[in-house]
Amino acid sequence: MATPRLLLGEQVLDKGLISKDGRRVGKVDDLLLEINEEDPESLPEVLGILTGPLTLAEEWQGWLRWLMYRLYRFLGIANPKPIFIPWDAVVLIQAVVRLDLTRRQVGLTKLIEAVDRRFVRWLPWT
Amino acid sequence: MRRSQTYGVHPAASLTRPEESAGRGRMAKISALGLGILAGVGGFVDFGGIITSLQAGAQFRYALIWTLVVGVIGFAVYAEIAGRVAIATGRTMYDVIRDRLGARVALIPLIATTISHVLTVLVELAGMTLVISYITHISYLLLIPLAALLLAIFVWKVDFEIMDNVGALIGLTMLVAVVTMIASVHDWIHMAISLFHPSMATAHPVALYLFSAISLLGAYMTPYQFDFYSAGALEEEWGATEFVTNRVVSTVGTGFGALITLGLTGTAAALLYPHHQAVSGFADAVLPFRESLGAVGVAFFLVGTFAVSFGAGLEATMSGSYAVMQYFGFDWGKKGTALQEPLFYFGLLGMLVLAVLIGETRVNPLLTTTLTMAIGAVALPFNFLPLLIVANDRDYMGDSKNAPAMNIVACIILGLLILVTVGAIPLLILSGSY
Repeated sequence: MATPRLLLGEQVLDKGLISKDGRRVGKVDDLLLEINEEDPESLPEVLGILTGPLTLAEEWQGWLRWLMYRLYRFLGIANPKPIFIPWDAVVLIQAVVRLDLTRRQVGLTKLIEAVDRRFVRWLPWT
Repeated sequence: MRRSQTYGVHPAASLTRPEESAGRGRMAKISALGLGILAGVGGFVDFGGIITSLQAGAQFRYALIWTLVVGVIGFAVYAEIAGRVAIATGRTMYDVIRDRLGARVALIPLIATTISHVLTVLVELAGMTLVISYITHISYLLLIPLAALLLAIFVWKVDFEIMDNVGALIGLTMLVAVVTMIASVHDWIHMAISLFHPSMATAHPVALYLFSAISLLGAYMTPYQFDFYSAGALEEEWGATEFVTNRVVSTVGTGFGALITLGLTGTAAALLYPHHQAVSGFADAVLPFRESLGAVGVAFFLVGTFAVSFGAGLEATMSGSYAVMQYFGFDWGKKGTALQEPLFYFGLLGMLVLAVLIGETRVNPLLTTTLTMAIGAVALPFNFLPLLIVANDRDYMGDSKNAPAMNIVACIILGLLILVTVGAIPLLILSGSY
């Protein structure tokens, strides 16, 4: 039987990510590939998924990138970085990419907790 | 390889199953339909639509009524498409647009509509505060933060379905515009003909006329309406059995809203145009209702204006946060509380804060309204084109993709809006509308 092939650009990039606990945890903003330098003709290996606004910010114009980093600082997150999800955490790829990680394990809760801590929970009507 | 092919060891399972229905009884479906139609009324009429319609009638009599025909068709067509895409894919506009076109290209409609959303929130806050200011004589600048606070509390605490329908139901008091039109218009044949064959005798100055047409189209088809409709279909868990509901809501509801808008323009044409009375302040907008129906007319107009501004303010605020969350793939929607989905609620807060900050710079609220509607029209092609591409993609839509007739109409509307986008800034400068 032929090995199934995956068109990363068409079937993976920009797809929504769903955690093990059924939460939306971002989009496949970029992929980390490793090229075998000893065999440049071989297909690169997918190491994992990069996600989070900072992943996209690296591709944007300077002022947009600056704005995104400022926003993270404003939210109280020091040393913000893109989120990396290892490829072996991916369990299903269809209309969305399902992960074998909870939202906390993905690492998105850092941003969520920062927003909650700084703004949302202090509002009297929350 | 087809987009729908799975990769992995688990059975195929999509995020949502369009074939599942909410399993409602017949009465509940009729109720949903009725409320959906009423929501369509509230969605089509907001403070921007009220002011631009009155200004159009006061300045140009019936010469701009034709825009209503284009606006109704455009809104009905693209609202139906947005709803059908949401039902067929189980995903919202910005989600599928980014999926289909990529992050970089999808950033363009996101930025364009976010600017439109923030300004629209400001316009609706202006509508709420100008009504209160008219009654109490308190400066609207003092009231803007309070109005934003009211919106924040409501959007935080109130259930989606109640929120969607309360504003629209109360907004039916705007039918007072239809009553005043019936009471004051005498040349019905001239008005009816102008819907399809406008007389250009009153269409001057030309630059201002064309710019006003742009503002009116933007008022009829404000970007937040489509975002909200698309996300709302999923908030209310519309399934495959709601395709008919979607079609009826997007057409019949629009029709009711168009009737109110026609009433506003006709009223101003009959009662303001003969006296060369422009609508440059909110008090000017109240005049024709006072003249026609006295205190009762004024009361209905004020209640209706507040209600539709409030409802549209809620929708525009939510649409702004929807778009950003859906683009980045975060949780969104009213199903979760603020503590469960702080990012979404932070987005809501951000929209309101930005709108208040701009409002407190003392920008002229009616001028801001006109410009915001024009900006909305300019932003539309950046949403409609990607939406049209997705709606014609069989991999996403299956058998629910656009019919050829729908594509023809949608492309004509899109072509017109592209001309609007190209011509808006030159006309803004030439008309001196800034």
